[in-house]
Amino acid sequence: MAKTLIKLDDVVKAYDDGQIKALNGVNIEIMENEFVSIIGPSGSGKSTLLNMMGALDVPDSGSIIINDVDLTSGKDLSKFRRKNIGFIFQLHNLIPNLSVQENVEIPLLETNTTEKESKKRSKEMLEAVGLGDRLGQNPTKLSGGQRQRVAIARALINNPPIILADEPTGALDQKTGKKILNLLKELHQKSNVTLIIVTHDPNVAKQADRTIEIMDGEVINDYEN
Amino acid sequence: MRNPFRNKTRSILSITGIAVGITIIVALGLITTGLEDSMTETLNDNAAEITVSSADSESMGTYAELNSSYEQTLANVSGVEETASVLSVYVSSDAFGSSDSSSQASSSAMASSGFGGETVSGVDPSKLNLVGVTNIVEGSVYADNSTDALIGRSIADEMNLTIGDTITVEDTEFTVTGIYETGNMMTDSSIYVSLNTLQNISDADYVSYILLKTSADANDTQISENIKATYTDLSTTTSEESAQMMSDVMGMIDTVTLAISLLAILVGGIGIVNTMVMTVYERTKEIGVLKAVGWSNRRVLLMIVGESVVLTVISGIVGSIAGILIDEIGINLLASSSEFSLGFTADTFIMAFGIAIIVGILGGLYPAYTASKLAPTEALRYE
Repeated sequence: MAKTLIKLDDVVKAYDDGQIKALNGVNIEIMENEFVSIIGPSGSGKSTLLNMMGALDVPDSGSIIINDVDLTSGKDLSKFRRKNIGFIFQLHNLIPNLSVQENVEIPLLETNTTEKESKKRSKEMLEAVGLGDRLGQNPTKLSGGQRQRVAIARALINNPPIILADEPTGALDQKTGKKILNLLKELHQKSNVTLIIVTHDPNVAKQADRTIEIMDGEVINDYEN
Repeated sequence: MRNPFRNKTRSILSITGIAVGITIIVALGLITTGLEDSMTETLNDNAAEITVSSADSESMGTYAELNSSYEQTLANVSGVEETASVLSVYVSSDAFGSSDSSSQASSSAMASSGFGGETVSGVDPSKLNLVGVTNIVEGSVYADNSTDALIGRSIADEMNLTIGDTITVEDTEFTVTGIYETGNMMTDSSIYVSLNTLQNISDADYVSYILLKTSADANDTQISENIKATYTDLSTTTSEESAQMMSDVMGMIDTVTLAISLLAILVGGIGIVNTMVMTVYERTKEIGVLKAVGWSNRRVLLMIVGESVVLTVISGIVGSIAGILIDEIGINLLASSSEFSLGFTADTFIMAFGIAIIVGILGGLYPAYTASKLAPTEALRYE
């Protein structure tokens, strides 16, 4: 039996002084090495849910325990994020004036990694996503798919046990999107990470082992694909 | 390192703002240090401690006629060891000429660019130590009753005079036979000739002032007060008073310099705050990403403050160079370069860079704090 990695218990989150209920009592349990997709229409609360799992936001009530760490304890979670979470955003969010390789090295700056080790790891990581020949290039010169690959390399550089991807294919054309998705799946299988993808595209969602459907801040469906 | 220059125009503007302040600090700092150096150059131990002039004298530099007989009278005052009478005669700058005609043109051109005139002082050659002249570097001291002249290094350079050149006073040509150098800019700007000769040619039986050298254990102020009390038509100045006056003036210059500099720095500092606030605002989303990938608040704070300091340190470098250049150019335009040298001490630059770094840290702190406190989700949502 696999270990429970992520456990959300009755998580509630409201915005604008309680006017908008983004999450309304969500209970989710995700095992180690799972590939889960979270699907729902826009405004359903799926991105909020992902932010919660990524320790970017804290719930108003309820508890979130990830990798035995209680995220609602109120302390600075930057170290937790650094060690446990790799983020991939819909828009790649690369720093435009740094090279591709430097962008990938950003998360390592907070760790005690030597510069030599940093260079080596970022190079390996970029080779793994098929950008081994673009190390010194400026990210603005890359295509959308290539940029997303850089973002994936950046998310994986610290070897986090969890990868959270918010619409990773949302800004890409179908063909490129498929490639990125395949890359993510491949990395998931190879490195045994837990991969959680938020999407509104059912075709993307069904690639996962398991799909959680969200509507109006509540889980309405949870099934194996 | 590249971050501060993403918006080049804005960065350059704020660098310029601080750099102007630093330029003022360095430019004025070098000048005041230079002035202080040349003024406070070790006062000659042999020089006179008290200057006695007529009470009718209006101010320093212009002296009313003083009866020569006072020298003998003052020599008898208790505590006074030596006395020297000095007669000062003002000569216009065209009195200076070279012995050969070719350099005459250049020397008169030089002279006319100066302040227009000099003072020739008549002193008994055996009493030159009282005016502070001891170190003859070229030639020799004039003989009594001769028409030879001894000039200081500064005035020699300024007027382009060398041994053999002439100075015309009251239709009499004096020949430069010696040059002295004490290191003090003021002392080195004098021309000395025989007192007897100068009195004869200017039909003066009076002197301008009398210098008194007191015994080592004497109280200069006390002697000075005694003289003023006994001879009401005399006025006295002790070297201590002169030094005090000088340091008061220097203190005032320092204060004004500091005030102007701080004002400039304040203006520049506001520029830096503005730049960094704009930077943080523009990069809100980027900061969100950095936090999402695990950067701590402290690291975000250090990044923004670091960028701010990079800007101000560049300002410090630019400002220091500009300050030196302005001084060098200004001195070359206004005076002959050897007359005055800048006071290149580390202090000026340490202060300039210290201020630059402090402004960088303070200016960056508020924007950096704002950035570090940004909620990552808010920042990520920001478009």
